[in-house]
Amino acid sequence: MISAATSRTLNGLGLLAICAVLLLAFYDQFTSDDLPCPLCLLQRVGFVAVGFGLCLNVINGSDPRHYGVMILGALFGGGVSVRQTLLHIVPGSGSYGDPFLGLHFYVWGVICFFLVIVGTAIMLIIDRPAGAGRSGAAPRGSGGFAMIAVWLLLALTAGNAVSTFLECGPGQCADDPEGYRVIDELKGG
Amino acid sequence: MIALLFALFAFSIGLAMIDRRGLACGVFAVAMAVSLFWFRHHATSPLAIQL
Repeated sequence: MISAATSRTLNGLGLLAICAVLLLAFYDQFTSDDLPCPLCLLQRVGFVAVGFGLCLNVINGSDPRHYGVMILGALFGGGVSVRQTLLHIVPGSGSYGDPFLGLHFYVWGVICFFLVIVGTAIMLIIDRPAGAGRSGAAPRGSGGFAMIAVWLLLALTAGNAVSTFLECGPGQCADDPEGYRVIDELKGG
Repeated sequence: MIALLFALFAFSIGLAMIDRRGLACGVFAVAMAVSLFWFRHHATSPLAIQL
């Protein structure tokens, strides 16, 4: 069994990893002009959902229910990633976006969501719920880098809301987006 | 609109940060339900595989 402080640190590190994935997606979007498709955006939603479970662990202390939230988010994101991978798995059926380290982002998505589920299972085994006879102060309202990671996830999620609105507008996102719809309409009108 | 999903998740994270965990989880559940709807809506292209 690990201590409350170790649990908080591990959850904070996991949250930073989720933020790194979302930052990398943003970096690719803005530097390579590689606009995310609807399934790509839904994979980002899966990462944010996993991050929400990690936030609950950082803010309120670890709880099996919070890990359940993470698994639900990973199953959703993994489902979307697998669906997009299957769309392009047959040779000659094309691909979406540029590869990163030899693999497309949706294949990396499958790997990352699988690792999230494995990591969450390990944490469920080694982590004792807050207040269940564990020594040390509960991490509620804790400071440090873990709370910075929570703020970072909030900022990245809000940033994705703005970016997605600019790309898709109030309606449905295009399957193969070619520009930021709202900005183009503002320029045109 | 998928932007609404991110807004809902941002709202739920904000609620968790101000110690409203129950409400945050409620908003999270709504966001996940809407996410599933959009996934079903967008996952319409036929797969080029034989299942």
